[in-house]
Amino acid sequence: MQISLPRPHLAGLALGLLLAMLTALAAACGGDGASSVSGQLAENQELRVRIAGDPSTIDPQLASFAEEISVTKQLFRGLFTYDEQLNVVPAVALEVPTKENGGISEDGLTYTINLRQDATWSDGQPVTANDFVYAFKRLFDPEAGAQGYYFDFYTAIAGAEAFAYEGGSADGVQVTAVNDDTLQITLSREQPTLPTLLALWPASPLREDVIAEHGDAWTEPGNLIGNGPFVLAEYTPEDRIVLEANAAYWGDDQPTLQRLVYRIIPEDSAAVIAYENNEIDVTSIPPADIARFENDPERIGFGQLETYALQYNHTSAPFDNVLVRQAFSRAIDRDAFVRVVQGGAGVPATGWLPPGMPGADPAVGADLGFDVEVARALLGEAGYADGEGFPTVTLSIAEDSSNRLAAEFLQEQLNQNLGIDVDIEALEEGTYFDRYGSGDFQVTWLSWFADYADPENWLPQQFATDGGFNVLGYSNPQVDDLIAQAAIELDGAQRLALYGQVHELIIEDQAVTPVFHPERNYLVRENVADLVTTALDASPGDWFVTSVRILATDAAPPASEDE
Amino acid sequence: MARYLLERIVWTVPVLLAVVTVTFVLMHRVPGGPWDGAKPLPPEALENVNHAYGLDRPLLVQFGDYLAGLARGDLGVSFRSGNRPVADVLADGARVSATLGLLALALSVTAGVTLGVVSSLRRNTLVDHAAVGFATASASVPSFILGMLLLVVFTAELHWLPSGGWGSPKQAIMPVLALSALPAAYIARVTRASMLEVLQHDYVRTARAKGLTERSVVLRHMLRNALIPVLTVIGPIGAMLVTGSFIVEQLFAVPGIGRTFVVSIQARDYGVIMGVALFYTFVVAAANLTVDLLYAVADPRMRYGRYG
Repeated sequence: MQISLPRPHLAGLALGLLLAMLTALAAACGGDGASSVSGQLAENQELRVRIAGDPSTIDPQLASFAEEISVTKQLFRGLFTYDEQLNVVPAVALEVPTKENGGISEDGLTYTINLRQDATWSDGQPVTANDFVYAFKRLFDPEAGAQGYYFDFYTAIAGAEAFAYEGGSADGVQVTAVNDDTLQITLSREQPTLPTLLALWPASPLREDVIAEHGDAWTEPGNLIGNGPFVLAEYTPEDRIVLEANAAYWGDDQPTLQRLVYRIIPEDSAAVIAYENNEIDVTSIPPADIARFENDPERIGFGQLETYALQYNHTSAPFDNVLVRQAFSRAIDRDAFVRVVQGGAGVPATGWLPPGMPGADPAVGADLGFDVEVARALLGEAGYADGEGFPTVTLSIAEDSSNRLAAEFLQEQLNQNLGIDVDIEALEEGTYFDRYGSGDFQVTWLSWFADYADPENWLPQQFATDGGFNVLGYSNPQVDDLIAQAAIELDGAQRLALYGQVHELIIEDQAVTPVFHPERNYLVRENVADLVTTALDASPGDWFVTSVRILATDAAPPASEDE
Repeated sequence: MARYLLERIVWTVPVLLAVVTVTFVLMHRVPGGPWDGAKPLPPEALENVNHAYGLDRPLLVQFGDYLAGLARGDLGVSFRSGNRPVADVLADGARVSATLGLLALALSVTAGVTLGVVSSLRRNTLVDHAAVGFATASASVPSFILGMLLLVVFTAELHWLPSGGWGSPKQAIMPVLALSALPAAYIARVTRASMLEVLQHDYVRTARAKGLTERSVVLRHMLRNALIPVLTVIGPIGAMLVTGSFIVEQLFAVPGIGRTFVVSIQARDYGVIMGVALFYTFVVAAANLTVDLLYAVADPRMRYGRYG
């Protein structure tokens, strides 16, 4: 069996070098800058978007991951939607109810909403108040919507909680059709953000006859009847989802696009190559490739309502001590973090509420930013001068390369600036969230991102003593009190002011230590016009796909056939 | 022969049972559940959804239920793909991976055996060195790197081939190449070694002395014997190839069963995890059995009667 082998390492090395050279070559030649975009519309109005994974569901009441939400939003339209500044505007409803226009009762508990008479389903039938009544009853059904993440947002509706988890019945849910064009929603407690919430996908109308007929299969192509600008034409699991313009669409935002194709490409680097080969029009830029596309005219970057923070377990030493938490905040150089870890893609954060969020004050936490001297003094005051006697702490993260990079940077900073030893514990994602949910960590690194643009989505659940997502064990009676007031405050400005106070308190307490707000970077082909992004996008432009137009190019970039 | 076959088949039943039990226990021992995510479900929703899928019952009951379903041929539903039956998910993934795997197997056997035979017959010549060098290079480049290399050259640079997906012959080219490089190299090495050994046997000299043509000596006398060790390795290689490679399927966006398996584990999609484990066991058992039967065809000394 003796085979004379040429040195294998050298062979491997040679190939490695070849690969590096080819990649560089591809980078140099990539982009196909030769093609020029005209002002004319292209023949083929098709937008091809890459998604990383197959949606588990496109049932609007259960959709909760980015891909699921992105697709669902195109298939349905609720009572309201957003404008480009994320203000609530009517969709199926005729107007947004207020006390002034009589849509909201004096006590703030009854909403009367008039519907457009011309709204239709994709099969031509009219959208009626009864379709909303059915949808809301289903939303709180323990055998349907109440198995998802979002139904909980709407439990101010009278009878919702009883049905969802106290054995009540659908009949008790106080959403009624006064007539075909008038819907009435009665609340059990005031919910100033109700119109905002009704603009989200879980509040879409649904067709009872379709769901009754097809059961679980109602979301399959051919079965699914929606009322949005697009209809589901084709669904090949783990490969592609194809939407086509809904010929029966009634909205003012008629789409120019004829087809919307979601290509499932799990690997980031392969997606960039698919983009370079003109197979897709939109894809995210993996962190490793940010520098390569930095000055590319096809790169777009936009902020997200998202904050990454160090989160502490407040129930035991040393993080039950506010001085320790403040010392941590003071010891982290956030500018360096964004530069080194994020390659510049992001904004340093000392506050929890991100820029663009109503009521967010960028000055919050500015006095708790990076200052090594003060950090050391604070740690000394806490009884650990020069880090003496401070226990080695464990920083738990969900294992992935960007979390690891962040954790290593923080480890280094805390060690250098405070003399503290940090162990990094990288856990498989499922295990990580299981541990996080049960508060089984000392310090962790995790972000929160907005479901909708209101501090209500960012403070009460996370920081009230009995908040549903308060896994930190954080408790401040003053915070609880302010949150309770804000929950029922109908005056918008006053409500945001109350949340502003909560924000200041939790940052002063360093309930969490915010570090940065990420920026999303995408490649969007030059001939894709009018892609409007917002801070709430699950994938870029997904709130305003109807405004997108594909322009003709003089010289189409080379493409290999897709099929 | 029939009896041997039957016995082997009967023996796979306890093996499958053991795999089912171990997988079930391990899967539920791992922390986290199918509905964990970046944002936790409200506790009441968790209760509702666990109840809907029967996950709130004692594990033993769930296990009994699963076995009962299995006996009826019911593998349950996938939580992750909108309640699709696991059998459908597996069938889709397996069909793709099997097609990809068989193509890769055909290529690696053809390339490997050819390379091995040629280099053994031209031992220590430039042809031999080139063949061995090629084999070593393919064996030492991980499939991920090779795949990226192919993507950069044929897709990003030359625009000849689509980056991935599944359905057309063009889409199969790069995944098949990436998948077969390592097994082809391995088969080439085994073939070469085995051929060199056979070369020294008396019956080869006898065959030559009889005045047979070189072609006949190589094909009828040498190759047939030299291929026995090759057959031995083709079994496991074939099983490995048709069960799908996560890395290659992930890179080329191939909706195969290798990706299904990894994704199902990440998502704690219990029904699919169990289904894939069963499927893998079945394929490995079938592959080994096939190889054992092929020995009989290749080697006249082996005939399965009463263990003989």
